[in-house]
Amino acid sequence: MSLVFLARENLPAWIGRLYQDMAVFAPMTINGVAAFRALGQDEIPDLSRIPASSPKAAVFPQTETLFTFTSRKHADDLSQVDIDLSYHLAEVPRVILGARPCDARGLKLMDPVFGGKVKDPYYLARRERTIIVSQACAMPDRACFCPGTGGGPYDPAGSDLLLLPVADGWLAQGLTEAGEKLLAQDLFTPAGDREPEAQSLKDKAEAYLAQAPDMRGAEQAFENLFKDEAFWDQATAGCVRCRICAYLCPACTCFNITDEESGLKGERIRTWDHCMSYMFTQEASGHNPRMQKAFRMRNRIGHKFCYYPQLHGGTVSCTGCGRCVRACPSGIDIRRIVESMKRKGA
Amino acid sequence: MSSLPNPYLPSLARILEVVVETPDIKSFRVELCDEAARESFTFEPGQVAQLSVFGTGEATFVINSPPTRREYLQFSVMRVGEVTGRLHMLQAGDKLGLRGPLGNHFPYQDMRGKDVVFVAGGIGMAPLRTLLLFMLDNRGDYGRIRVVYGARGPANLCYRQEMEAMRDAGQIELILTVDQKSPDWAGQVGLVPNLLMELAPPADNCVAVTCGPPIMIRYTLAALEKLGFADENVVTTLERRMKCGVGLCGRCNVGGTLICVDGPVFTRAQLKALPDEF
Ligand SMILES: Cc1cc2nc3c(=O)[nH]c(=O)nc-3n(C[C@H](O)[C@H](O)[C@H](O)COP(=O)(O)OP(=O)(O)OC[C@H]3O[C@@H](n4cnc5c(N)ncnc54)[C@H](O)[C@@H]3O)c2cc1C
Repeated sequence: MSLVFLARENLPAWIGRLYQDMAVFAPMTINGVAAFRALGQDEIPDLSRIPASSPKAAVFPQTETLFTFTSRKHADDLSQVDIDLSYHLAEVPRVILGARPCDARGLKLMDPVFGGKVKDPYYLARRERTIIVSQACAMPDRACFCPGTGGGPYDPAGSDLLLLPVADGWLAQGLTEAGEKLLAQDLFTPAGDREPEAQSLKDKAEAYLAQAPDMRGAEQAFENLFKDEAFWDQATAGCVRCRICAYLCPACTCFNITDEESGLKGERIRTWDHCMSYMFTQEASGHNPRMQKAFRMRNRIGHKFCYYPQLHGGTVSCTGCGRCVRACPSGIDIRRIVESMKRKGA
Repeated sequence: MSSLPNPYLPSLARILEVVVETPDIKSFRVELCDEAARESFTFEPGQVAQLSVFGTGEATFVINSPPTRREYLQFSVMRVGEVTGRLHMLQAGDKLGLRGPLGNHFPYQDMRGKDVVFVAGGIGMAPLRTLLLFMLDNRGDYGRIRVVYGARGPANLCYRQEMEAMRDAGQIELILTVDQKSPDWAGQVGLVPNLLMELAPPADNCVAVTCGPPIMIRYTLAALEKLGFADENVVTTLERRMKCGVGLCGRCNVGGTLICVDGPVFTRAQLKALPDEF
């Protein structure tokens, strides 16, 4: 497929068109932090830097209503109560604009979780209606390590449209029919001879990331170190259980379910959960299979680099986006943990 | 709405009867409100369901009536927290939500023609009750049935009269035990794994099924090993905190295994293949 050019000054007009037909999720900078959210009319996203959050909330919101319940008392016998349950699934098409290739791969990692043997209708309703427009990463930073997880700064996997940065705009590459349909003819012009410029940025980005440690193939090392409590203690020492790593992770999918009620009405709600919390596995008997923080970290690492790959053909549940590394208040670096795990557990 | 089934949406069920079993355990006999759903509801011994008290939440309980008895579904609930506390306030006629059946079941097919020893502690008798009643309803398929069941004190023994009646009818051999001596108790005193060692059921052509507090399960598994029970003849059912019950929420994993869908029933052979994190 040939490339077309979108000038930077045409971005607002293009987004305005998309906005007419679908919800647009894109990074906005607010108080200095670029994070994905649903754009309002005429809002212009900030595509200039790596967003602090992943766009997973567009398909798996941090909080969502699974269903509502309403109790109705019988007028003639107040002890008789009927309960009505109702739910609805997303119907509006949506586009995630400005995802990074790591984010597109994050969605691909979530798909088999929510679309496996038991299908999650809420996730799938959104996912089926979601088009992903990714921006290739011309400027990865020191926290990035996507090649170590099987991706790359220009990896097209999982995207419908890939925007390749050039000095004054982007070269757009349609990857699926849905992606191509977004290319409004009058705003995109032939790419002409701009391809080498995009290519040289790509080469630079890939060279910059050439040293990324390989996070794959750690299953056996993990199993070998499973009982090495000293190793896990050390890996977890700084953790303050703030949860930010899981919330920012494009691949973390664990969730909690709770009820909220007011009067005769209420909702069953699903929220993102976090496996570093003590309560995650606390049982009624007082027993907790992951009593120590180190055991919870072991499960977190095991899930991403051993259990998930064992179930999904060796693919790790990590995209190398670097968000947990950038945000951790204690400077915990998941690359160091996996690297030393592979070394010590070899 | 889409055509996909919604795995989070409970069916409505009505409480027919509440039985007070112990100071902190009540049994709820329920039926699905929808008649067609009630007729078509099938399950296997050992499967669980999620019960909802709308406004408070959901929790997991084993269906402890056997599939061979269809008048109602029974759940025995120990009061330990929010949902179980609210459940204990419900009465006959009240409605709740029910999602199920969920999870795997006891491998009763493999137990045919064998002797069976049940080893339970506290509320851990609930899942075993299902299988026990199922076996009594197919009595000819199984050999000797022994039950070793313990609780803190005499008042904490669940289904006591029911089991004593089975014993008196010659259907099972029964050892009830409590942790400490008390004036109103003439039976055995001592921990379940110790009594199991004293009973020393021959491992030959025998399966052991156990459930109880994690610490009791641990010692019971060790006792059974000493008694010579092969790994595939030791069956246990695990409790693990879970939310969705259908393999999605990520809470109940042991390694790559999810207790909610791959379990809760495991043989010791299967447990040995899992990471040691119970
Ligand atoms: C497969 C399975 C079968 C079960 N069968 C039965 C049964 O037949 N009868 C019965 O009484 N109980 C059973 N349980 C345990 C029961 O699900 C919990 O006691 C219940 O969920 C606690 O809910 P709560 O809202 O009252 O507690 P909460 O208010 O949420 O918490 C009270 C305490 O219980 C812990 N807890 C919460 N959820 C669970 C859980 N799922 N498992 C263990 N501890 C938990 C909390 O960490 C806390 O320590 C079973 C659990 C599982 C996983």
